[in-house]
Amino acid sequence: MTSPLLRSVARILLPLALLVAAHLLLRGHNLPGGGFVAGLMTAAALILQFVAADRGVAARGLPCRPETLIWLGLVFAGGTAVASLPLGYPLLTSAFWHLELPLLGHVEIATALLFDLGVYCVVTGVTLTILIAIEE
Amino acid sequence: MTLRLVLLPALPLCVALMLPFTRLGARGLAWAAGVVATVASGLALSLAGPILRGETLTASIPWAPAVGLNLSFFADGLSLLFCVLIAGMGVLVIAYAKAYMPADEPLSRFYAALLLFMAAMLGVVTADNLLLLVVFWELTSLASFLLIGFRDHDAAARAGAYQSLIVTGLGGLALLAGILILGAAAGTYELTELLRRGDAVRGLPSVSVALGLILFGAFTKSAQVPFHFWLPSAMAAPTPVSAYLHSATMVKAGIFLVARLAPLFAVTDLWFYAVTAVGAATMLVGGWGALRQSDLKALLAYSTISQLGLIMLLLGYGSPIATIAATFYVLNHAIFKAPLFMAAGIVDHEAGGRDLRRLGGLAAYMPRTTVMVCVAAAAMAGMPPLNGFLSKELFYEATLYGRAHGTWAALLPIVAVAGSMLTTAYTLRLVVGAFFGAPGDFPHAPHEAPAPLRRPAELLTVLCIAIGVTPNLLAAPLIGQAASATLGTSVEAHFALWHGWTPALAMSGLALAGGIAYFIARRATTRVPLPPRLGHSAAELYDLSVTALLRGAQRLTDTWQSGNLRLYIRVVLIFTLGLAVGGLAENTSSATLQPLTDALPGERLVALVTVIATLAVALFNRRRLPSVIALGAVGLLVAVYFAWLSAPDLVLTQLLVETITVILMVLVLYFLPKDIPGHEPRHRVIIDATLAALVGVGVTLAVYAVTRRPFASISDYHLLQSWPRAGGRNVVNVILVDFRGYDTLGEITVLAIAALGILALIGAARRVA
Repeated sequence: MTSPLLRSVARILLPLALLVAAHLLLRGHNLPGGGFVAGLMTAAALILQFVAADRGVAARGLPCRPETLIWLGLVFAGGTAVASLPLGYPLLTSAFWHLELPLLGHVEIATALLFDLGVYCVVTGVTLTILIAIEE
Repeated sequence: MTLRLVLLPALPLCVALMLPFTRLGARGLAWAAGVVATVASGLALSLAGPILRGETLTASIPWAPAVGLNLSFFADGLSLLFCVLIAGMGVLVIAYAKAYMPADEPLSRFYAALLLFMAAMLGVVTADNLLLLVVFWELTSLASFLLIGFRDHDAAARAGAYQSLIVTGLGGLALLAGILILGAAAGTYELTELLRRGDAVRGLPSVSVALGLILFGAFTKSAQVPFHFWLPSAMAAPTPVSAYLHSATMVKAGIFLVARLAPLFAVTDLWFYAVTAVGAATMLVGGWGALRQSDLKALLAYSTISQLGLIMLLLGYGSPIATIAATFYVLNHAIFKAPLFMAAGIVDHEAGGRDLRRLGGLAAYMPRTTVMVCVAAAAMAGMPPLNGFLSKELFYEATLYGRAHGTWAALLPIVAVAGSMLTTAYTLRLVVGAFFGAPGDFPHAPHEAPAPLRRPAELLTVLCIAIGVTPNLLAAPLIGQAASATLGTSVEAHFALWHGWTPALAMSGLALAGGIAYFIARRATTRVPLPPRLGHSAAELYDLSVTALLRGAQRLTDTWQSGNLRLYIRVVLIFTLGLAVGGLAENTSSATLQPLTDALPGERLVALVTVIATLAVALFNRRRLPSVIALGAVGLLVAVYFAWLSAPDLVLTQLLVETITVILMVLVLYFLPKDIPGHEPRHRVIIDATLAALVGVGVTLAVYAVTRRPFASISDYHLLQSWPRAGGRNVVNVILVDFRGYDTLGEITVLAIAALGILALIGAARRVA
């Protein structure tokens, strides 16, 4: 399944897909998107590399093992969840701030994004783990 | 509020958790554990002042108050007696273990488990909250498991560890059930509160069920008939452990629990008959079994069973004198039985074995140990002027002047004398068989034990004499408070070696004379038989039931986990259908469902195309890859439908999930034959078609019932609150990461676990292949 055509298309698609995933993740709080969808998107883009390219090349391209991503995500989401406790708020209380930045204009920063980042990591990690395990 | 009470179990627990991570050598470990035990003893003694004045100390830290679980502790006379016993005996056992345990064994594990046990046991006897008590109770079982199986290269040690864990674990479950029933009925899990209510608790419904379950737990823990068989198997543990857990302390946890609940239930008939009958049977079976053993430790184990039965019998009586006798016996038994176990370890060490058939005449080689054993054994047999004599006398007196309960009560003094005769006989077998007579056929030349190995046992032996001679100075205040706590009313304990010519004295004499006579007769001629084999049937029954359980589990697994995917799918579908339809049928009335009249023509068209396309693929396609692609197409149609309903989040998710599912299925297809088998047996086709039709109709009905019922939607609330409360305009996302963030946290955890499971499964499959 390593047709040169598929391989070159996959290579061009990867950065685009990752960019779209990042876009989905960041805008999730206000527009359709979010960690779950972004995670699936990332996993789909990466698995395309595995299918299209030589597996060794694709695996070397990953910054870490997908299982690591799962743990990272759990730590992120769990950490965000309990971070409100020391401040005296109940579990999972979220906070958000509105800022006016030069060039970017109105920007909203919400701790929920960190939580969503955890969801993103877990979903990406889980999907990749399962697919790669079966693909091998 | 006495924080020392919390510290008492917390200190050994913390050190136990730290020990495995230290790099201490054998000496360092022993010293660390010894210091902890000494500090714990000091803490226990520091409680003595107020408790001996009759006060009750309490401490409480809320833990999970919503479910009635608090870290609440209380200490009265009974707790104090056990605390002193646990911590004090701990110091001596650790001192003994320091000399006994070979340095090349994994000692950090040993001492950690020993301290863990000490912490758990201290927790059991000071817990106020019954749920907390169960937690500590189970911890003692776990520590015991670890310690019995300490020499894990030995198959007997592993088997004994499992056996004790299964038996006491079963009892622990029963105890938990009983406590949950009791606590739910009474509305509180605090012991002090339950004890205060008395009659109100006894009058609760289902209280006898709760009591039965709690007693079951106590009986397994204290090795009462018919659960006694685990204790001899537990003798595979290193000897310090046998002396500590399986004679002085852990096996008395059941005794403690019974004593603790005595003020509540001792007046009931169920209590009297159950506890005295089990106690009496255990006393006789234990004594009988001890006569048959040739291994020193096994003999002592049966003797322990017998004496635990004796204490249980006394607690069943519930009279003041019986209660004083029981609490006094708890103390005395620990003091005379522990040195006997330690001596068995010494003989094992210095003569190379502990089988009575190869021992004999050890007095010539180890005179000091012999003297010590003679004193402790005499105390066990109830000879004056030792501590054992005092408690034995009280025991006889209690059986004579107990409350009148018909023939059974009249029978108990006879049982008491019979049990004590057995005690005298096996004590003589132990002492004479090992230390006197012709020299045995020793595995290696015996010699006297070094002082550090003897000291702890010698100290306890001296205590046997000291308490025997000056009981009112050393033991009476403590025993008085312990007995008061067990009775629920204040009593004074007063002991005397000489009571005058009483019936109890006659019973003492009879028991000693009878035991000696049997022993002499048995030695003179072999025509006097050993008691016949008895009591092993319980162990055999245990083995049978464990084997049957494993075989049954194997059969069940073979049937349901046959590897036949078709069967799995059928089972899953049938159960899902049953649950969904059954649940909905119960909660839905057709009158309130709104008819489906508001569907748009376009919606109907999409639905129709989907159904026809799916049917066509299912009926006419014979290859797998097109099936998978068609399934993906159905998913895309659903996405179109979502778009129609203006749900962009759902569309996105649906598209991506479909994409990844198709990739996944294509990857799996690689392992399957390309074509779907064409020639199916007719009955199988019929079954599958019926099931498919049923599931289709069922799911349609379920969806219809769910979506066409009138219900108050909370969407408006979320739409209104999403921006002001969470700063997000995408309500779907806000619900996921904020409003229902806790659910999401749980879901991603489940996802992670599922991924690891799949990884492990595929790894295992690959290893097999």
